[in-house]
Amino acid sequence: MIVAHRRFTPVQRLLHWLMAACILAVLFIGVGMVSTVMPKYLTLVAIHKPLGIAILALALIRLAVRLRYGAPPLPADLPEPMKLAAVASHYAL
Amino acid sequence: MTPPHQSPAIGSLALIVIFVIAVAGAFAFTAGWLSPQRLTPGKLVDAFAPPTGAALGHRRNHAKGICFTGVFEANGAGSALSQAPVLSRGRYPVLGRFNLGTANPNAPDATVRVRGLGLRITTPGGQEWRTAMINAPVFPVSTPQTFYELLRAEGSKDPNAIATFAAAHPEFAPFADWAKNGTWTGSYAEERYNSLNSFIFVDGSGAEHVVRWSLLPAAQTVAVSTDELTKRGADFLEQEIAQRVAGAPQRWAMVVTVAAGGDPTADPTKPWPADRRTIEVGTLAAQQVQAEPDGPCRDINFDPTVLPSGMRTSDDPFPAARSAAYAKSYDLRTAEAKDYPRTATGARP
Repeated sequence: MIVAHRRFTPVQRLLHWLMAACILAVLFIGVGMVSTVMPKYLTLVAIHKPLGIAILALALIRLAVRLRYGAPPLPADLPEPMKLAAVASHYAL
Repeated sequence: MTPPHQSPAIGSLALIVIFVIAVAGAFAFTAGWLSPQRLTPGKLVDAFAPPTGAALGHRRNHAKGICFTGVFEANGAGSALSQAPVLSRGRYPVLGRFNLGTANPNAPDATVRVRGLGLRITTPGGQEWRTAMINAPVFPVSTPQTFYELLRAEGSKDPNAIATFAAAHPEFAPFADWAKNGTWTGSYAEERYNSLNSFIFVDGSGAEHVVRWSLLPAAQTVAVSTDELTKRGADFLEQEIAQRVAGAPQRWAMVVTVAAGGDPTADPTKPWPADRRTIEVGTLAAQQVQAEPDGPCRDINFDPTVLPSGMRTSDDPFPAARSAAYAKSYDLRTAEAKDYPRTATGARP
């Protein structure tokens, strides 16, 4: 099932960067939201909640895509500790 | 072949470092860590706490209260102003809370000037109209920032702090006059409760109306001196409303007032002229009273920005500030539930 590619598939790369943008945004919105009593508080909460759910949905899609397409092997010249960190952080995520 | 991981390393590393520092800086700015003057929900909530510290497990303000359930009977007249289902003719279940504007859940009733009523009306589609109203005819201050300054003045050791505040804030005078000279009553059922904040109603044609609302008591209001109220005991309001509602449901008329062009919609210290259009949209009936420790209002946040479609916040800055502060208070008190046992021994009625 899992075919070894040299790179992640375009869908995986798109999901990666989309989620990176969403997670950064949700962090900024969250920390801004809990530190203000200005009217923008309501706007920020109104974005924060659906954005969080969207990230959850993207994560599920991402898992499904990963199961379907797998991942390319790590570069052969990567030091062992970095390989371990890469694998461990993927499982942690 | 060139080695893959060598020449661009320094430049890339510098770019990465600059990027991380920029993001961290932006994050710190967003979080308010670079602006200690910013009014945060935490500061606002902390400013309510008495010198001895907040009462754990309780609301940080309006801490003393008692739950009730009942019904809101909408007469349908409000549909002219808003398409909210709660204003279309019908009977909708209500969860409410009578309360006192104090951070002390054990404050003697006769010592607290501001009495409040929190309300959640639910309609079959699952939409809710939540509102928290008080008996004062105007709010003490015009902005959340000034409210914070007022709380600081109230908590100050300087005996002249309130006088200094009042001199600097003439908008405080109408509230101070009501607090000093307004009528005291012997019952939650005899109070008029006011939204004070303005909201926007959107009718079926999409037209917007800026409104405030009030609950007008059906019960006769009887003025009672604070000396007399003191004699009735520390918890007379809760005992009285429990007995009164057990005898018969207590009712209020929900009246919506519509602003005219130019009325001060963003400033709750300023009443609108008395001749503004008012519409009676329904009747609130309190049918059952329950003590708070095990009552259904205990873990409800009467957040005034939880509104059905057809209602939304206006340019009044308070509902957003209240929402932010209530959420903070809710987080704190629900995490402290063990400090406010559910089945209190010697629970009030």
